[in-house]
Amino acid sequence: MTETQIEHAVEFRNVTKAFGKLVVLNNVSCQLPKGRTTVIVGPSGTGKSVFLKLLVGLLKPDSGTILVDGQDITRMSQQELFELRKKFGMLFQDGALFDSLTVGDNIAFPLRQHTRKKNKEIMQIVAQKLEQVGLPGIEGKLPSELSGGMRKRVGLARALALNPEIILFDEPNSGLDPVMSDAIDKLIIKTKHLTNSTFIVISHDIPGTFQIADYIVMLYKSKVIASGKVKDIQDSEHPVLKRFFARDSEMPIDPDHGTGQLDLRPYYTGQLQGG
Amino acid sequence: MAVNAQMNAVIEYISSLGKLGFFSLRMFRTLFTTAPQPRLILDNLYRIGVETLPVLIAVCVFVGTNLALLGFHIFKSFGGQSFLGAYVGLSCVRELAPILTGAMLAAKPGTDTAATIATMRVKEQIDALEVMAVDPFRFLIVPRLIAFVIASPLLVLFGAFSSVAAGYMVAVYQLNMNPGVFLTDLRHYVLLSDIFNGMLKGMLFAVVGCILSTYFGYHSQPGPKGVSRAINLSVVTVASFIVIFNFFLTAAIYD
Repeated sequence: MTETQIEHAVEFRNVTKAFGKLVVLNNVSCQLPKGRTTVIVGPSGTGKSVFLKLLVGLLKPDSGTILVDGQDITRMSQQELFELRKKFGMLFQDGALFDSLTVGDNIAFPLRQHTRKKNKEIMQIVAQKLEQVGLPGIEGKLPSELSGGMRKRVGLARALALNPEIILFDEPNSGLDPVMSDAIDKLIIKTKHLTNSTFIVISHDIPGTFQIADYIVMLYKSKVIASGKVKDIQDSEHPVLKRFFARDSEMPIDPDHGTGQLDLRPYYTGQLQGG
Repeated sequence: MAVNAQMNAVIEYISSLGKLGFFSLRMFRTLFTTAPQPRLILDNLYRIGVETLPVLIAVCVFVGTNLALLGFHIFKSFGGQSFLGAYVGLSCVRELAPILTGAMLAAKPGTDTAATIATMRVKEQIDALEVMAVDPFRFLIVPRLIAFVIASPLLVLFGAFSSVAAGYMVAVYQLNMNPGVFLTDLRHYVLLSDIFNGMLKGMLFAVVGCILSTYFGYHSQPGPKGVSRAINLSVVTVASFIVIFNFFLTAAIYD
């Protein structure tokens, strides 16, 4: 294994995915560094969620390879995929908690499925994870009794239960008020400090992105149009990037009509600065 | 253009059959290659077996009473009332109990299954299972299949018994038939193999019902509309399938 591969938790190489005639990702290549927070941004409908589903093997790409810790997941069998997924924790948009289980059972679920821990020990971990997301003592509640923000936090607690190496967030701020949205961002930062995991966040929330990201990958019109450290992206003169981050609704309909192209490559070359 | 659209519809139909085939294959592969989860099977047995029983018995009782009434008046016209026991017994044990069991399973636990799995699909809970490295087939589908297989023959038995018993009650207490005639006739014409075949038929209907309701739930389209469509498709397809399939089964077994 080369040094570059070790440095990257995830690598997309020329990945293309289409549904019928609709090409959602077109020849996408990018590398997501290990142990850092990378935010994948882009307007709605640019394939961010598909990116995440490809990454966990819920969808298979039409072409290209996806490496997770240097292993090509596109060639894995169902069984190998299940094994690999134990490295992942994922926070879904609405939490994806099981409605029929209590909060405690939801968080305990991956522990009961994959470990041989005793119930007492499991409930201790559950209490600790709930504490970590700022909701101690709500083990007995049902998901339907929780607000949107609470469901997300419980979803995060469940994602953290097995101390995964890679934690994925699908639009952690969607559907939340600005204050709760900020609280979730702060929680992500706090959680990042508590773990050494790789964080991959899908978002279209601009202030949140700059708050939590170490790296940004910008998807636009099915392609990666820029990727790099937060500062590089912020200072970029690329018209699409500037408009997106300025929240300008008049983004060019066709990216080719922009005034020139910015190439931020090489993407992550394995030389991470600042630790 | 119209030809093209029709071709597309045909292709889509064939590919959906293929998808259903792969779905069933994965279901049976999971059934035979993974360890069963007793707690989940018991939970499902309760919902599929115990909770379906009252409604099945209620329906079967009234089908039995109607059969006795109708049969009595038909047979009376040529003096063959004594055949009422055989008539009620054979129709209920061979045909009606399995069909009604299949239909009630489709209507109650079948729709429940389609709705639950479709909602889980729509709310990304099935994706969540997969990402948590839990096979949704092993966790959601196979326990239901096992419960359907165990519950259905027993339900057929209860259904057949309650419909025949109700028929007997009507014959003896309302139509003043001689109980001995009814029972002798019943014992003479309804064989153990009839009961066994009926149970087997009910089990087949239940397996098909389970495959279809889990399939429609699992492949639900997004949104509330997707869920309602999954439920609808599940119950309509299963109910019509049972009635049609039953004809061929009866022909195969008794012809």
